[in-house]
Amino acid sequence: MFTKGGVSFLIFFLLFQCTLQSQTVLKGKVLDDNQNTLSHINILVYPHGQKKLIAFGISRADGSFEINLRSSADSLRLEASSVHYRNDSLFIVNVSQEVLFNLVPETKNLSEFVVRASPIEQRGDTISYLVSTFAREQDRSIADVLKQMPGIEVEPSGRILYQGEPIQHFYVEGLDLMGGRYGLVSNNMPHRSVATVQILENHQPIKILEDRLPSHRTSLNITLKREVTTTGTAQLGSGLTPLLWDANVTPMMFTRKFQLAGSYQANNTGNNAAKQLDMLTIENLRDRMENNLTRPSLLGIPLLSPPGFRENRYLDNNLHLANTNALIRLDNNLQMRSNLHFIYDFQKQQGNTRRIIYTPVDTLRFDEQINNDLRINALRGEFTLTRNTQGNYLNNKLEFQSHWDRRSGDFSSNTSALSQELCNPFQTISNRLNMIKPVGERLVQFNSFISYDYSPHSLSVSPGSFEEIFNQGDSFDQLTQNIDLQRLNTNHSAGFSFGLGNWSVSPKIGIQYQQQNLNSNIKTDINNTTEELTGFFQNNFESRYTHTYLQTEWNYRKSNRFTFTANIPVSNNYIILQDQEIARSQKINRIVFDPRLNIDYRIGNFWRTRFSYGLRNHFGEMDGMHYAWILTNHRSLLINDAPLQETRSHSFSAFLSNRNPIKSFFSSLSYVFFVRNSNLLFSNIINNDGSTLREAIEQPNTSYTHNVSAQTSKYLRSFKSTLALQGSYMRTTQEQWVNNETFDGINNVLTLSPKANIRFTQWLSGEARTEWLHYNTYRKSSKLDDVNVLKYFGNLLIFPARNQHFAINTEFYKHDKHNNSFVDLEYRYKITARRIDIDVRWINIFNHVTYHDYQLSPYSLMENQYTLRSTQLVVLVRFSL
Amino acid sequence: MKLIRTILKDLAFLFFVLLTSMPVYSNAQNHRGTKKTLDSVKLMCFYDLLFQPDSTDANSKITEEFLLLIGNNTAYSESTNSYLSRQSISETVASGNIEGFLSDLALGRIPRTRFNTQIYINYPIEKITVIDRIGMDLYSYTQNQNELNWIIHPEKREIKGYTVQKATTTYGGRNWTAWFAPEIPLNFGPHVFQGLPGLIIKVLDTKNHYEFSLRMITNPEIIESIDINTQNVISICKSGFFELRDRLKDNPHGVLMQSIQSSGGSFQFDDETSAQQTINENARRRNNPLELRAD
Repeated sequence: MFTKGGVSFLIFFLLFQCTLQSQTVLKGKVLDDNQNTLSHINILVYPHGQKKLIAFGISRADGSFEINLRSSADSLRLEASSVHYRNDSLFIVNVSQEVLFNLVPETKNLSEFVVRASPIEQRGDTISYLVSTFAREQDRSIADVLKQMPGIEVEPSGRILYQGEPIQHFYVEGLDLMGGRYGLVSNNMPHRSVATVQILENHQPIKILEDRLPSHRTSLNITLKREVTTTGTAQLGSGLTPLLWDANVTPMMFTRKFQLAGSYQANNTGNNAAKQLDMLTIENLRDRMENNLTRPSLLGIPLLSPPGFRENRYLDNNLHLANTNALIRLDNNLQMRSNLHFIYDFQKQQGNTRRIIYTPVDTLRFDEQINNDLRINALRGEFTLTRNTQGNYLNNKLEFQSHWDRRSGDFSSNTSALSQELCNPFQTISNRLNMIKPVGERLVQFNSFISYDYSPHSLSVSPGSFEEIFNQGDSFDQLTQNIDLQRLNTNHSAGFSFGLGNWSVSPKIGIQYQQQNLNSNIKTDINNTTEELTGFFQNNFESRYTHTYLQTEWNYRKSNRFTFTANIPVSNNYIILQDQEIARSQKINRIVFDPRLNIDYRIGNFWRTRFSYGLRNHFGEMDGMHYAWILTNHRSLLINDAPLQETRSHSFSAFLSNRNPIKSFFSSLSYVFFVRNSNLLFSNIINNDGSTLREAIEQPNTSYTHNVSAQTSKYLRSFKSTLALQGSYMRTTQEQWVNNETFDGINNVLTLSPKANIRFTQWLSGEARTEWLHYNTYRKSSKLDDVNVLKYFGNLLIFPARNQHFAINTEFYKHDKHNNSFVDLEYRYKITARRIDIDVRWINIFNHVTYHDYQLSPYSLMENQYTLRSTQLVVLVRFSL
Repeated sequence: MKLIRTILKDLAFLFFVLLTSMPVYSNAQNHRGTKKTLDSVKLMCFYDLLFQPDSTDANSKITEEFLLLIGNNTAYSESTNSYLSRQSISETVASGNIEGFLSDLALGRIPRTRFNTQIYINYPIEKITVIDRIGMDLYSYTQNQNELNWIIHPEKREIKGYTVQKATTTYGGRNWTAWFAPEIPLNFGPHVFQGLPGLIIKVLDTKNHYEFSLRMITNPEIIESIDINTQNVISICKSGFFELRDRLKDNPHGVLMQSIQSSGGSFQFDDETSAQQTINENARRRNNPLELRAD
């Protein structure tokens, strides 16, 4: 039985259900009073008499809207609301229908919504760039934390990159203590001492240029937590066998006026820590190239050229390195910096070589054993004074280096055994001044460079070699070559830059003067009588080179796509070479033009192409000129009594690349063609004992080099792997003169290298790479020799936990008949709470102690066998001071 | 998204190592370009985003500010830091005002961001254009403005003095709740969230991994126009972009090495093993992008 109330409830319920299911569709348009359609008008739907929004619509670009709703309400209130028009309401019955709104403009004062004033200026405060927010538990040095900061990358060499480009300066509290060698600070300063890291993007370190020359380079400044910070790190390691050690203590002190960093490092584990002192900035490298600052190495003992793998497999060292760096801020604009380094290293080299020399009539084979001791002692110092103001810029760097190095070696072959001793000390002092001054409207940059160096080298070979020449074919006790080389080098220039529409132009004028004095003599010890040889065994050689130049760089850039650069240097070269004793001399006066052109063009998003052409005229190395004989090593006697070498090289290169990141498919192709004309050819007379007499002969000749290389890589998502393939081919054709016969020597090098990188699981990943190299050499059209090398590298990484890892590295080398394989194991455990790392390294676990490789030249093949470090186990502990 | 970005960012910098051999290109890459002005800014809103980069670690939550520029017909949303860093670089280049830029830096306005997404609402009409960065490359895709099917709920609250009403939707693999203020008749909100009949005051996902809260509304100052720069931006479909983004998850280290080697460089970590561990671990910890999938 239903009660009356029950029935009405039921009816109500059914009706209610019914209304719920019925859908109302409201369509309509919103227009303004000029009948223009209005978009972005909110149409809000409320049940009549309620404030509860139940549906809404927003008018589209054509002013239309459509609202679907389900509501039990009998009637609805529609409200049109927006910022620019007065709100309008319509009351309608809840049935599908068309609705039209006509709105009246009324710009509402938007500020009525403002709840707080704009704090854009303060926004920086809300961003945390504090070091503490980026540091993770396992981080120790500031370099570790830098790696975490978006935009910053730290290379293995210690070089810091921001947005991929090397930073220009590394400041601590605005002071650049280390110059380019900042790796020492960044790798050793505990991040807990650092308050903030500031990236100075587009930073112009030279204040006078700030408003004139935008810089794209970035510098980095770190600010410290305390007024005076003393800090540092230490690393201690020990291992077997024999007894191994690896220690590194780096204390530092920083204040806002005075900064000091020192370090002492010692190891005999094959870790060449002297690399830490290498200059890390591009400027330093360029400088070294422009001013010919390389150490002279006229004399030498035969060394084993290092094998092409990790240094710590073969470097038998005993290194001690100490350095101090101090910087004082004298006033706001004047700073003085000093850097002092001392290096002692004792390295041993052991190995065998087999030389196969193809003379026109014969093939000569020599098996030789080399056993060398190298002692390196060096003291280097650098004093820099900098004034950096809005009005001018001055930087003066005074540098000295003193090396007193010795090398001694035992050398034995199937024909002879001898020992050699080389003293090759080197002293140099140089001064470099850079200045920027306003001259009229423009800023002119002046550079001055002066250096002097002194190399009194001596090489003694006992018993003496070249018996035919020095002792009528009979053996004798000792042969000694002494040289005394002094070089003066100055370079002064002035330049400025200006813009012309899309062009920027930088002219520069300068004069460079180099003078070298080479004195040498040869002494023989025959039956305890020392005799100094005269005539063509003594050099009293002087060379002077004056290079006056005007160079202009033109740079044109259109949007991002096209860049054209032309470098147009014109120079006058005046060279005098003379040897008064022998009464030989020559003079050269040449005006040369060495243009370089470069075009870079991007097509669409993925393609890029580049072309370049360069011409270069070069006047021979004066170090290499001498009118009398010099014994450069026990088996090489050299004379260079020819006109100065003049070469003219053309190089052409083309590059095409396609980078399609959407498909993860990257490819590139490049081609380089190089033609070199020379007025000299070197004649090599190879004696039956393998010694060589080398003479420069005036005979114009041309060499050609072609190089093609290509690479492609693809990421395969289904295998979680990257596959890559690289290949290259190089062909060099060069005229050779061996034992009075000239011929075209042709060298070919072909390489092919596939690679894969696979991530099997979260905790296991691996990499494999193979390199196949094929070398061959032809004399005219007959093949002399070929060499095949196969290299395989693989590693497997296991991550059992976040604070641990385990790595297995394998390397395999197959050089013709010789196979070498190496396996290393490494385990690291991090005690994160105490910021201590413990490494256990077992290197070369199968104890393979020899390694073979090959070098091929147009008339010889050299096979080297190295003695490597034997298996070793080292435990290393690292912690902060 | 962060996952990829951060890693690729790391990669990008390594990657640039190689590009130093092509200095012209790398300098020009980001700093110059052609801008197109879409609209003038009428109102600016600032939102705080509280988010959890690692879905497995509730303690990993961090915050970042987002801005919303509202014009006559379009709106624009981006992380404030991302905006400032892009802006300050291009302004410095255009004006040469390095000093002003440096003083900004000295005052600590070093913009650093985990979000590089630029969102243009109603550009083109009734669509949303998204420009986002993966590594060195900028990509753009579009989606429909009405993709968010909001369901209005009767619940009301008061936030920051505004009466707000609840609306829900699903987007990017998450369920979202938005609170909007009908009394502010603007259809916009942070990120892609828009299309409600009132400004979005708060929007959060049901797992509490992402929560945008309005901090302030202000008249336009400093920023006067909504600009778009599509030079060197690669057009892609949305699913393609997400596929590209997710590629990194599988083998972050491998993808990194590929991008380095593809530009003709070679790169070796001093400590290969810990580098791999760091790269993969960072990727693992940034596993929780705002948009889990492309829908």
